[in-house]
Amino acid sequence: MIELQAIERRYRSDEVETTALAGIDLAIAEGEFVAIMGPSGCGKSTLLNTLGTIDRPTSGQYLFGGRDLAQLPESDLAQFRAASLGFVFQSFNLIDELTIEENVALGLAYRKDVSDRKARVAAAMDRIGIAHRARHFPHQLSGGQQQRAAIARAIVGDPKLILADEPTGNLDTANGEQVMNILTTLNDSGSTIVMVTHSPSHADMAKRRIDMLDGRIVASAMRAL
Amino acid sequence: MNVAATLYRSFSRHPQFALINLGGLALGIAVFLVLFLFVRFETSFDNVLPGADKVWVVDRKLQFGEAEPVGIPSRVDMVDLLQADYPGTQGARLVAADATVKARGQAAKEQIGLVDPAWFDLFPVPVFAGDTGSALSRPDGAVLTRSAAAKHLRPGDPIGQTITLVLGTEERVLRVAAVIEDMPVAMTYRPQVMARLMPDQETFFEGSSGVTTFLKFTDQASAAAMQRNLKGFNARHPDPNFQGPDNFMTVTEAIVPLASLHLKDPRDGLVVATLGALGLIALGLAIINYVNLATARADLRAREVALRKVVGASRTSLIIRFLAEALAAAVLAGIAGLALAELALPFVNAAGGLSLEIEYVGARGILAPLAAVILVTGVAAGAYPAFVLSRFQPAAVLSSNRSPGTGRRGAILRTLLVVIQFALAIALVICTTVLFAQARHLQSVDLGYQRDGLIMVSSFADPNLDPAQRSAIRRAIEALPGVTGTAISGVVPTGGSYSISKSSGGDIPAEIDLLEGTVGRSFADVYQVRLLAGRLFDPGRFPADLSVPIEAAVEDSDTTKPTKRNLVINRAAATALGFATPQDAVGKELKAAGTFAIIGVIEDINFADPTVAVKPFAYALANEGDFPPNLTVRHSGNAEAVLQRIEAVWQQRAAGVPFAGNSVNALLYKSYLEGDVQRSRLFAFGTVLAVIVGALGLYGLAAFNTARRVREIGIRKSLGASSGAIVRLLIGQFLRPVLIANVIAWPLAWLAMREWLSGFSERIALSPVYFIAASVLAIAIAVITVLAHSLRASRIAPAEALRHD
Ligand SMILES: Nc1ncnc2c1ncn2[C@@H]1O[C@H](COP(=O)(O)OP(=O)(O)OP(=O)(O)O)[C@@H](O)[C@H]1O
Ligand SMILES: [Mg+2]
Repeated sequence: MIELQAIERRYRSDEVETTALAGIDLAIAEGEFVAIMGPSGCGKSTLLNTLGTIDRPTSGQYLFGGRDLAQLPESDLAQFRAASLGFVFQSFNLIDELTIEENVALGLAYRKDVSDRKARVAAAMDRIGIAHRARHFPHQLSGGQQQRAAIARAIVGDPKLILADEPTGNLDTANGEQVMNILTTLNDSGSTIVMVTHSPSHADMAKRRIDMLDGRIVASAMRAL
Repeated sequence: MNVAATLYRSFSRHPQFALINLGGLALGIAVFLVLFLFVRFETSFDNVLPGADKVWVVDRKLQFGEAEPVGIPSRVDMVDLLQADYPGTQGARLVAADATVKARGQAAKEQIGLVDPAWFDLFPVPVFAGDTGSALSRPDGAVLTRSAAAKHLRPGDPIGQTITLVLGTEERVLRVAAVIEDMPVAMTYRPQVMARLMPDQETFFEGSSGVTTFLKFTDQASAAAMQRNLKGFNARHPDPNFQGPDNFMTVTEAIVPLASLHLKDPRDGLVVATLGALGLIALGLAIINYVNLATARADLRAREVALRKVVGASRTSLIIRFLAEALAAAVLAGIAGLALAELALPFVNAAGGLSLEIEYVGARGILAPLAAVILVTGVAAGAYPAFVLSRFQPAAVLSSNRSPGTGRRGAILRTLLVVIQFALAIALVICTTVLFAQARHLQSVDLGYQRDGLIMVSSFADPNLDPAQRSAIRRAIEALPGVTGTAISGVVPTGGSYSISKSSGGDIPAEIDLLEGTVGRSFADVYQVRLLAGRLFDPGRFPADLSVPIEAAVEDSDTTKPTKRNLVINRAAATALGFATPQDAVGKELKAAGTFAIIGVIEDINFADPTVAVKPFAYALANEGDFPPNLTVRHSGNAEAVLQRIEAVWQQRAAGVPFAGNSVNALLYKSYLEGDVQRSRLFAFGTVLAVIVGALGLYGLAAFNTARRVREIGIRKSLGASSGAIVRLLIGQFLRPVLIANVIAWPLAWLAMREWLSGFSERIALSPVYFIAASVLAIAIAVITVLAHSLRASRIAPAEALRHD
């Protein structure tokens, strides 16, 4: 489904040039659950953002279902994200002024082709188990509940790919486990997931693990079954 | 406490914010200060000299039957009579006149005042030279203001120099006995040259206003006592002048505080009140903005507050801290506002025909009001953040992941403030357009005669010209190129002389107050009056068209004239007399001061104030020479050029009489429209700045809000929002309050303008166009204001935006 070829990402500030990604070649098949690990600053988030098209690679090719995304204009990318991707962030990134239900509905807000928005939002919240908090605001919820709301928002549009950047990073063990279970269940029912994590145990719950160092992939291993 | 440091830091961290924030506040303060000066100038009129609050003016009114009472000059012996009745009464009389002053071999028009020697006790203007206490004890003493002295006298010692006053046809040679400082502009009566009021000059003469009597009381109680005593005055001292046979005239005597004269006209009062309110609104908008941004930023500072609390700051110390910061900002804004006001004042003065000044020291110094404004602004702007922020529970703030701040409530408050602000701005814009439209309407309204191409030569009526000179001048003017005709009439635009009488009888049942004016033969031609029914005067065929003279003075109006005369009346008279159509009035008989026949009805001619409805009027034709000779010239082409030619003719034939002449349009503008136009300009000045203050506030808020929402924009983009969708979202969010503001502004402006327009008889309709235009303008301003921020925010790369906090 996904093919990255020689992806590079360099940040240029006034004097220094940082290479966040230094030639990434990576293929991800449909239905995979990939965990990315590596020390802080090695480029995990940058890679995930590149996959999510919210960051553009400096060079290289990004094929998604055979389409070269690196060449697409910004407006087409926005449509692509709305239709095909779901994001889960470490800091939840819910919008404070909106209720949980409204936040989840935002996952459909930028898609023109969907019907039955209300029902889909309700279904997504049910599935993740936060339906009872629909009318609350984010700050009235615990971190775990907020992250589940964020996951509900990510999946409400049935994305082809879910990108999760340290989804358990701000959560305690119990809540972290809960989120991981949800992701595993989603993967079992067919979602493709790429997740960044610092937790080896969480990484072990994925089907495949990629290790990064200094902007490169240094190891890629399928979990032994 | 290092408030200054905090302020400086926030300034250097967000220079754009701080500039907009303080700039808006400074602008609001500047508008407030300027309008404050205006209101104080207008309301302190005649209240500038020491003891001015104890001076009252005799207000004598004459009423015909049930008609509106009209003010008339006071009795010449008023002070004597009152002093006889109530010993110790202090008073002085004034006959104000526009008269010719001859000095140094030149003649010039000047505002002169014939006064009693006690005048200077009531109006203690500072003395520059000589002694005002004794100046008028000699009949030939004169007192000049410094400006008048500079204009008329030779340089050097003014005392003892001679000048000649031309009063009517009499000349008085005077010796300068004192020079006073120029009188404050804010005085209703400001004669420039003063001489003793002599017995033979008490009654009306050409160019004079008649006697005005001023009284001075020791306190309000004695003024009130006099007020009561005057009720029986006319019974005790009947005035022989108003004892006509039919005796339908009632004369009343009263006194009014001198200071109340200036804003006596309710429309003037309304204007001053409105402009005062506008000043408050501008300041209010600026404060609202400041509070808005302060609360917005307060949300961001919640963490800072929480940390300070954790390290032991008390709530009180936090409140003091925030208030001190706001006050410091208000002081900066106040100083900048004062500077702005100083810079703007010359322009405001020019546009509004004013002479406002900022004084720094003394009782009328600006510093005290400025300090008050700064204090109010500082406290108002600092109160909300101070009290709300200092209440935050540190634990809640610090444990929360995102800035908790005032959250939803804060957002609602900010939106509400934007709504209020735009509502006021839109209402002001509507009012300003209506004001200007009305002022324009008055300048072009149909006055019943063709006012373009008319010149009035007012010096033609000067009593020092003899009939031979007049006809020579008139013939010379008629021969000038561009001049197509001249007319002599008793009534002219802006005034002239006419008489009032009660009209009834004949076959006409109604009894009405009818004004009568006299015109010469070519009047209808020159003024291009419009005949509605019957015919105009034609004394060649109808000898009865030619009337014996009607004197201007009221006391002559009861003289019954033996012959039946023909009159032309205006439409208002025909209507008031009860005729269904103008045609019905033709041929009917009318009884007033004599018996008349109506030969024609013409369209209402508005010679008086075009803002006031035309009264029933009758025109009589008389031989020129039998009434005050006001000359009007009909011309083609440029008025200035013709005026110059007329003046040249004048200088050749009547060099001893100062020339005075102007186009009718200019005269009308000066006497009735200038005030409205100038006030509209002041209003527009206030409105434009209030709108700028509002836009600045919105700009600041937009900058702040988009900055605060960068992360949200990142989130939305990761969810697939396009840049266009983001721009629409941001602008839409700002437009909603603006749209709601219309709902508030429209009825407000409608009510205010309906009230304002009701003061005009000639008025424009309150068309929806003004309302829609103002709203479109407001929306356009709002969109332009937030567009830049929204566009910039929408282009941020999403990954960047998500890293933002
Ligand atoms: N906007 C940027 N400007 C400059 N350098 C950046 C920017 N974003 C990331 N970098 C740099 O790129 C490199 C990779 O950053 P990235 O955020 O991908 O690391 P990460 O592996 O996700 O680290 P962490 O585990 O701490 O989240 C780092 O050296 C970082 O400093
Ligand atoms: Mg990262």
